[in-house]
Amino acid sequence: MKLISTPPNIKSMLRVHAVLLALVCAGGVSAVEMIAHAEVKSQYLNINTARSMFGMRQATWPDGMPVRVFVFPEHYSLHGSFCREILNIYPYQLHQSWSRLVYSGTGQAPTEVASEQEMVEKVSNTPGAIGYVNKVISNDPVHPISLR
Amino acid sequence: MIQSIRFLYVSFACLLSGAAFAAELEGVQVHAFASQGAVLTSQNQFAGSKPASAGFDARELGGNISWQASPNWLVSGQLVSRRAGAMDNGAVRVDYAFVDRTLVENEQRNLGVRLGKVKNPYGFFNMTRDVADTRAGIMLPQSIYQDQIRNFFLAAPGVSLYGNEELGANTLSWQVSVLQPQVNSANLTAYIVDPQMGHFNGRTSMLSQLLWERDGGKWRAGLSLGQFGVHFQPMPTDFFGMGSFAGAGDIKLNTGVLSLEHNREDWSYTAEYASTRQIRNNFNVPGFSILDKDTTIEAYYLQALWRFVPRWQALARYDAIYLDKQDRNGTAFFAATGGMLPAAQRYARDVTVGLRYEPAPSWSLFAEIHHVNGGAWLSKLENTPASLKGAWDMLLLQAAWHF
Repeated sequence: MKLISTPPNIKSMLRVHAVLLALVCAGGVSAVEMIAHAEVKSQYLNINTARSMFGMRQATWPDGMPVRVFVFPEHYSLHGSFCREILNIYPYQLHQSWSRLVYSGTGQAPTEVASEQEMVEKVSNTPGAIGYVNKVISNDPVHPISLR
Repeated sequence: MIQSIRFLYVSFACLLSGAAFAAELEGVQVHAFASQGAVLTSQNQFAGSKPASAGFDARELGGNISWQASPNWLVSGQLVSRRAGAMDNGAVRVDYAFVDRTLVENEQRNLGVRLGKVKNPYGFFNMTRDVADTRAGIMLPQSIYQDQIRNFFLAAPGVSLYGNEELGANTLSWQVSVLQPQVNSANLTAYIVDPQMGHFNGRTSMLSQLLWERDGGKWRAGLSLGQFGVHFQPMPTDFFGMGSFAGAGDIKLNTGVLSLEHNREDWSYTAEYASTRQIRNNFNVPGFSILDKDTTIEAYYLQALWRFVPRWQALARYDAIYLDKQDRNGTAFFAATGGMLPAAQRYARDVTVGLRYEPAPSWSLFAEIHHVNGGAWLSKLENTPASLKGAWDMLLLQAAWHF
């Protein structure tokens, strides 16, 4: 039985503040950032490579490490922001390209997560993982990936 | 019937019960889909309907498993059961089963080979045609994706070489397959030589596709080219007892599809045009010279899809097929068969409007109305020449699920 209660999740609070700050600074435009497992060497991706990875067409990083893709469900607003602001495509297009792979046997779907906390946990614990969050917090055990 | 239901149940129970186990294995994914439709036609029969009497014999059920054993190795398989009136009896079939080996992969390109039963890339939609979630409406445009010859075009054992090239904002994907078409289908016989007792053999055939995407799919275009060969061996009773006088018929289908799509936030526009040259030789049935007549089949559709509020889509489509582009209204065919076969067998023009609602991410509800002139894509197993009506309407409803 768990006797000691978990302290308030400081990271979650910091993330909420960071999002609010970003919203104020950007005049209401939400921010989305790509994140990767700490051992991923790439700091930058160009938009086409990011589309290939999230479209499940590119299975490895440049150093040969397998890519593991994590996404939020299609109806989450953060997923919509990610598709539009980072990949510059519409969420339904990404869904269609995954369906084409999954039901023809030529590829697999990414792994869905239900919360930002789960996203950070999964990406930080899975070698080769890539995902996205609203805002990377400095002590999150992942490293941010920027568009080049 | 009971045995087939039991087999179906056991097959899918095995697949789905394997899901829990599979989910524990690294790199393994399991997915499934199901749909049930209702069909009401004013004239003619489609997927089990009878005029003015709704049919509920339109059902799709499928499940797949894939194992990404390493970044370079993928093993995939899918089982499908489909009911569609006289066209399909719900038997469980291996839809695809193959091994995929990536030979080259970097940021610019990948290149690989697939060996086994592989889906045929033909137009934008053939490879995933049984999955409602991948379709704009309940039915794919029948001009190009005819349900009555679906099994022939769907997938085939063979070997495929494929690749992707990343060229800035453009992506080029290609696939070349050498395959053995699957021809043991009463539907194909009815389509090519009317219902007969003889059988077809497939000849080694080729299919290739080049797809271009710009800006992550805002623009998509494709060219599919195929050459299929089949050989018909008649029985003596075929062709009104003329079968024993007949030679063995050879049919070569040289086919091509041009595809174009533009995707915007609220609208998607799709158009495809297909031309199929049908070269027939060596039937030599006395009195049936039409069996040896070469024709060019022309098919095309224009489609608009409007996502007018979240979870809702509206569809409008014009779809046309002419089994002989030199005889679009079928009158020459009617005359050549001495009036035995109706002209309406040779063309179909279909105006479709439809709605789709997604009550939850895995669920879709569809409704669509077809106003059709002609019966070229109606199965001859459901519609005898004497009963075929040229002008007819159809209402379709469907509930579909996938994960």
